[in-house]
Amino acid sequence: MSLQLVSTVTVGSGGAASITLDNIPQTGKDLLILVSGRDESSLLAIQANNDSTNANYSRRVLEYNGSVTSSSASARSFAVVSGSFSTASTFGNTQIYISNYTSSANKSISVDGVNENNDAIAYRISLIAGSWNSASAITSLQLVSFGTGILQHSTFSLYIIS
Amino acid sequence: MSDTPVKVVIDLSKPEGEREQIIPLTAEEIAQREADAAKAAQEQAQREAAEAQRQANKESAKAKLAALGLSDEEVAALLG
Repeated sequence: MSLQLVSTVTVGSGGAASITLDNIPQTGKDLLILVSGRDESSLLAIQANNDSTNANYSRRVLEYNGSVTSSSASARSFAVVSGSFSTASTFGNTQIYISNYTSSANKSISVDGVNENNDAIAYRISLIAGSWNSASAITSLQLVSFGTGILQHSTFSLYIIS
Repeated sequence: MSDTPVKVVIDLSKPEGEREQIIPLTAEEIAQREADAAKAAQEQAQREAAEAQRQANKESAKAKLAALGLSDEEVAALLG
């Protein structure tokens, strides 16, 4: 097994509404995306091949916000990053793993992520089991802001596992 | 963020240094983004409201059990 860094993207001045990784090499078995990020909403939707139709995704979320645990199921999976309620200037981190991204089977997506608030509660720790229900190989990935945008200095690193 | 939101597109088929494009969103993309954000906020609010209600129910149950004479340890053993 080998792990190859394909690209690291750093968001520049002014921020970005989304990050798209296009023409992903079809030479690997699995994909790994490591995120260090901040967005007002604290959530970034994960899309494959520009597919924004929620019905094509499924997910189960388990999260803990410092006082309670909860779970939910619906729509696109998301990466957890720091948000408006996080400690100032902190960046949350998330790991996204997508297995068998070139196969014709549905693509399994697992996510774990955290953001911080040093004052009150450690909002939020999140584990997600999800899938993109499509027979198409993943050639493109998008991480889409649900807030005002992904802030400057956020980074996204794409690795291919062969 | 600038007035018009932008998307960063990395074309991995190109050599390093030529991959990145910064493109303003179309009106359709902005509308989709706003709809997604509203839906996400609604889902989050629903999750938090459900959790708040669950916590309130738990506190109410604790108080009622305590009123019946159960100790804090006994209530904790029952409710976790």
